[in-house]
Amino acid sequence: MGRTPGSRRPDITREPDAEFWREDLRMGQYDDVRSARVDPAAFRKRLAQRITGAAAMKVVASELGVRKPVSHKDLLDALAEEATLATHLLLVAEFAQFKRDAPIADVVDLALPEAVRAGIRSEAGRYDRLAALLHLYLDDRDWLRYVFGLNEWHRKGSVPMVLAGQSGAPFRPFAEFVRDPAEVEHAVWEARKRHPARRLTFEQVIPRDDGRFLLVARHEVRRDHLRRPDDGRLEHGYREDLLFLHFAVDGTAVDLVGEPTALVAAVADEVARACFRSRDCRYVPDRQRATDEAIQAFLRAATDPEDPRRVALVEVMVTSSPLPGHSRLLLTGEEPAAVIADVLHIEGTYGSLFEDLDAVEWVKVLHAGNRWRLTFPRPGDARLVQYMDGGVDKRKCRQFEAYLNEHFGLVARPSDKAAPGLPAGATA
Amino acid sequence: MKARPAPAEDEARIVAPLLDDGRVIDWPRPEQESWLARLEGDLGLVSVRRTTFFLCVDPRDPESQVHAPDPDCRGRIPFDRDSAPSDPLRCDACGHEHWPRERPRTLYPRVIVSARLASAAALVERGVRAIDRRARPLGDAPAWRLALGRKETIACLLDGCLGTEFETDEFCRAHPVLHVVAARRLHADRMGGAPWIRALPLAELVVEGVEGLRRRLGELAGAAYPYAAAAGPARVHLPVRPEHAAALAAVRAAERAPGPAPWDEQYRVAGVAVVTSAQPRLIAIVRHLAAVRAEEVRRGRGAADYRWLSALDIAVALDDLVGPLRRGADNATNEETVDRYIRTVNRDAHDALAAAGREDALDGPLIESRTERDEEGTVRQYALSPRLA
Repeated sequence: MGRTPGSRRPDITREPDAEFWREDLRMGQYDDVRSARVDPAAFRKRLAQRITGAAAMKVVASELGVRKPVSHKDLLDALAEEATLATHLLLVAEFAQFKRDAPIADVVDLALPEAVRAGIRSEAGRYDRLAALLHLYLDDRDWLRYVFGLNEWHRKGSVPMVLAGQSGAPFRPFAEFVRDPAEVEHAVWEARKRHPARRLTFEQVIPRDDGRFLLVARHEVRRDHLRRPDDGRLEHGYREDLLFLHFAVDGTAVDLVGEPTALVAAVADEVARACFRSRDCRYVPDRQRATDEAIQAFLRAATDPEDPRRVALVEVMVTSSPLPGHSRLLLTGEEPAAVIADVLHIEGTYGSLFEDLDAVEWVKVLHAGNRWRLTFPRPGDARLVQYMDGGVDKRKCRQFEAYLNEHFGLVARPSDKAAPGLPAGATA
Repeated sequence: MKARPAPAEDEARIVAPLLDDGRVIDWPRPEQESWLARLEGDLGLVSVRRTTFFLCVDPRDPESQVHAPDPDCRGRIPFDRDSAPSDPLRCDACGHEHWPRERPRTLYPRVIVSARLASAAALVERGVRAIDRRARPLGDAPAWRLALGRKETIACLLDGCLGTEFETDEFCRAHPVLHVVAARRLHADRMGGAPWIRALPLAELVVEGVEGLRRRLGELAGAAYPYAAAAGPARVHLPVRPEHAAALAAVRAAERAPGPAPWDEQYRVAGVAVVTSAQPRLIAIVRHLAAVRAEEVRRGRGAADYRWLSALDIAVALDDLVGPLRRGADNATNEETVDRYIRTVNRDAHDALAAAGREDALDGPLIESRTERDEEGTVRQYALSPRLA
């Protein structure tokens, strides 16, 4: 896909494109929605279930050419009459199910003008998911491919890497190189040649609003089988997993998503080698040292009952507690105040929980509504601060990292347990 | 012991957990609900926050069993339909992702109780005044002296009297004191111990009312006070949470500075506050030495070549930190004063560690000294014990 989307409206007078919905967006519901039209009453009910909210109704009204204020029920009745248009919109509504806020916000910020964005933004600053996707789809259906890719990417934990062994300037600016699908596809193909047992295919390159690029590749992981819904026959194939490589603008760093990490790193290495024309290029884990003192200062702030509660301890696991028996101790709760009171009690009565950071298996802190699990591993001689980013979208992760850096001088990175080249147990 | 517990005891057993601060009750039972309504509405002893949760794997939601990575997961995930974000929630136990808005889940009630000490004190006072209208409050603490027949007794809310004489062993041995206890689990050690320590759990006061208080005080009035000193060591109660938390919170509040100050806890050794003197100069000396040490560590110097400071260096630094040293009656020089301060610091630190039973934490003085020879003679130099780093 070499084109950057923008103002190529899908033809809504024709039936939706099966290949786009079924293959690119992995929407099995395509067949359900098409066959649901046989029963108009059931189709009308499904429309009412899925297409809700004032902002989405506005889009429906403008598509139907309705100028006057009309009740939502009448609008949906009118929409049900226009079966082809209704199928398009219903597919978008089905696509909106189980999508996170962050990928939609990413693409909306990249694609839509501020006038449209203001119309679908709630008071809390969030976008109405369905209305946003309808606007994106009607602007250019390829925006939905980006939403699909970014949704998978935001969902998974990443491993940060930095470039090593690179000498000299790239023969072509990295940003220009990585946005060229032919070049990237070739790199993926090279990686597939090196790992013949792995079935790798280039999917797409997603531009990000900060000038960076997200490379998406498909990895067919293992054999699997499924039953076809219509005739119940067995369909044999491969279960797929998407791999993501989020490159820095100049290519000196990359965040890898997907397993095994060594395979994703191999793709990244091929991209760097092709761009820098050097066989020695490879990405190594991004290790940012932290001092024990800075970590202690952070833990003190997190257990301070009077600190304005921007970061508060909600869980700690220590291998060797200060209690008389030195048992492994897990203190956890939902209310930070209660957990902090217990930590202070134990510290005041028996001794410090955090004095020896090697004995702290993990802590969880509450920040911006999320429970962040932090570990302080020491592979070799450097103390690291790592956090589990699985399930938390990347926007929040960046904000959390920025917060730790600004207030405590800590450079936290997502946990690299899976990073290649680590000796076993190095992060324990 | 009766064969069957009296109904009042049963009721107290129901009420007691409802008065615990921070208690989380999932699926509150009807009798708990009716007591909560009374405790919150009529008596104001607790404030109740109601929310809902769902189970990571719930037999009532068959879908949840199909999708679960761990079909035995026991995770309970708090979810409030009104305030929860639209993004998925994660099970803290197994990490499974849930979309309770897209895939509706069975929600179950959860109650979170927080205790209100002021209302507990008011309840005790009401009871005391019902027995003796002219009961006299003792100081600022929630404690009252009241006449029961011809005897005088004292009733107090223990949780409000921490750090006062009413909680001490000596006072209880000398006077007929009844402790009403709100945080029953924190003070569990004082119930059923020595005969002169009498405790009335708040739950029993709530259930039995004034009659229970009158009966307990009557038992006190009939007892033989003062009790003789016990043969063995006096019963020492375990440290009480609020007291320690408050002390530690005060220490942290004092330490709190804009930005991280990595060495500001240096006057604590092995978790024991070793420089407890109210004198800011002692603290300042330790802080200054710690700052110097931090600087040395930052420069990458080993323990062997740390910089040592002379008394004069320290006196100059103190002048900057806390103002000029005053000349005492003994007309000591600044250096002699600093020497004396350091001896005090070392003595205090040793005593504090000994009191906490942690002499092993520091085998030597907190601030070490050595004598160096220079062109004018000998000079005494100081540095923080290297074992601290």
